[in-house]
Amino acid sequence: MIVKYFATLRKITGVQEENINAKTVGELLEIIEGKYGKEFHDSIFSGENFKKGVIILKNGKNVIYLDNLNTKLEDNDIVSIFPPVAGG
Amino acid sequence: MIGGYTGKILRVNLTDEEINIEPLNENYARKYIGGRGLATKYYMDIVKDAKIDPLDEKNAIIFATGPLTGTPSPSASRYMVVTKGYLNNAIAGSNSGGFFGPELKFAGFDMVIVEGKANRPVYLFIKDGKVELRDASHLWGKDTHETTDMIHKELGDDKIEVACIGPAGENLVRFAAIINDKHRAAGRTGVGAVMGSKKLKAIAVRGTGKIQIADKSGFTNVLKDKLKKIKENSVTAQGLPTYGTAVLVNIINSQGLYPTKNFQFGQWEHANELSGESMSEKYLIKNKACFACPIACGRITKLDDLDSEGPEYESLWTMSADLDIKDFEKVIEANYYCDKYGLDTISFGGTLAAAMELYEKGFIKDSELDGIKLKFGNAEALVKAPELIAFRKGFGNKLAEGSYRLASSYGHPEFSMSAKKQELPAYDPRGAYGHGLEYATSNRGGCHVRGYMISPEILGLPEKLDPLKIEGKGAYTKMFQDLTAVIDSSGLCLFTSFALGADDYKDLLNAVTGFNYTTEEIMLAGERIWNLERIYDLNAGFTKNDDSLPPRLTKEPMPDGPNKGSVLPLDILLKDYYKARGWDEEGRPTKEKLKSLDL
Repeated sequence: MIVKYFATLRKITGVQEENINAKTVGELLEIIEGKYGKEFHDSIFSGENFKKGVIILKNGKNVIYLDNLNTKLEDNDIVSIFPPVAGG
Repeated sequence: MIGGYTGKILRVNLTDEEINIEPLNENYARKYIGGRGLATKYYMDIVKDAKIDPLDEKNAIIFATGPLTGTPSPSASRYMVVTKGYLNNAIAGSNSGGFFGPELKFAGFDMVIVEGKANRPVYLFIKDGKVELRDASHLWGKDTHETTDMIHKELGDDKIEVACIGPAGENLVRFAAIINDKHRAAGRTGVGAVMGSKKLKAIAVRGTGKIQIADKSGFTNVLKDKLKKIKENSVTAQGLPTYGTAVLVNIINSQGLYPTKNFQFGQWEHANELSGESMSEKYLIKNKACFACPIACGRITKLDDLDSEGPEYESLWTMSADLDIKDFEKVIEANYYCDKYGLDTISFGGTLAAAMELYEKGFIKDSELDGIKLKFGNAEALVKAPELIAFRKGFGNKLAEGSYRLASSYGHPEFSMSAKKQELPAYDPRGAYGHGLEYATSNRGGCHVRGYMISPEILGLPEKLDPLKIEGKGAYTKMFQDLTAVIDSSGLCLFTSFALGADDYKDLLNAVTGFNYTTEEIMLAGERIWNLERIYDLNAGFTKNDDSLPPRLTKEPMPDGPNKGSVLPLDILLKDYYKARGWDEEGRPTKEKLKSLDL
């Protein structure tokens, strides 16, 4: 599936998007953390929970309204990951 | 001792060129805080007839700071322009950052109230308590940049802060802005046209005074605590400083509420190419902070020989996705021209978007257009439009009336994506119901910064709300609107609210003013201000029927993206909201509610 990174996460990953295969959102994040390390983890998590304002979308739907870390993923899904950002 | 306020109000009548200085009403200050709230109270005391024509000589326009403006409080840069707006006849409160507001305080005034009409162009010069009306005949016709530079030169001081109108304000464009610091705008509601009708080209201020703090040692500790919160918050310490407000483009687009082609769609395929991330990569020179701001979301951008600021998120959206224009450089250029000529960018783009849809659907004919095709995607139309509108040249004269009057003149007001005739900002409410409620109930018409429900519904701040749920949205929207009224009245920037809450604003207000508010009291003051504005609008002739949105949003299902099929259930949301506000079914504050607010 395609994983898209936004805002300050792009400074950590060095890419805007990449192909990674995983069965769930939790598994996907573990793979990404393995690749980019603590800096990525700390951008997303506070302890075991998502940081306030972190948004993870599966095909534009926030995973907290799906099955959160257990949300199932398929090959043609697009996952978008945002650190806490705002504007207006 | 009451701190924060200078204790003086400057009153200028342009008809007879009379200048008076009055003491601040301290009871009003405590009840309405300052800025938006206090100025609205003063405005309603002075202009009794709510049905007055905004351009009537008897209309007043007020430039108001808050008690925190100009203090070292975080982001304490704001001043508010309050009048009856020319765009829609509602109460207009349009605020701006930069350095003008603090300078007005340093020059010795909490507020400037301007009445009457000059018989020739004039500008007001305020320097450390001394006030002078000066001839502005030589400035009339100049743009906002030229005006600022010329005033600096003729007064021999480039530290003078200038708030002025450009040709758009002079030519009474319905959505003319007041510009300070060349690129900061009190943009919305047409306040620039009211200033233009009075032949008041600019207010120039210079001050060296100090603002008293009621509890100096307490303030030091409070300030330290609030700055720490801002520095530790991911949004205010990283997201906004790194990418500016346009960091929102991808997040709003990905979630399917990024209005595209006049709100016909909710996603734009080119969003990532014209986003905060790509602007930082290609055009950003450095960040720019307003007075005392630790966030510094402002963008200084460079394009060939054009040194500009921004575009901010809303401006970027309205000139790209809403018009389907993919040329980032043309967007930067058009945004620059809007600042230069003194136009509100949101209404500018929204009006152009409505015109493009009317053109593509065959209502606007080529014969009306002086050779410029108003097709979606036409970047040439975008860069030419600011000048045509500001000088009311050719078809620009029709565009200068705003989208609602434009679309109505062709018999199709439904193509104006507006609320109370003011163009909507960059979020399709079919993807965020509370935000739609905010659009419909904003006292100044379609607006995102009177109760920014995108924050909880989409960004998850301060907590995540389901954007497509109805339950509880009335009370939550009310709470956000009341808190925003407090922030707008205090003189702080709304962006501090990503890191601070009601208790923090209470702490800052108490340390600076010495008023010793409780958190409940400041929230009650916010509610009082909101109800005061509502009373004004009702007296001006607005009814429940004006708490409405275009049928595209309430009847046409979203055609694409993650919100496909969604429509905004506004009627249900409004019932819930009126109840939460303690208003009757017609949206009028009840006698009991007014009594409880001491109104």
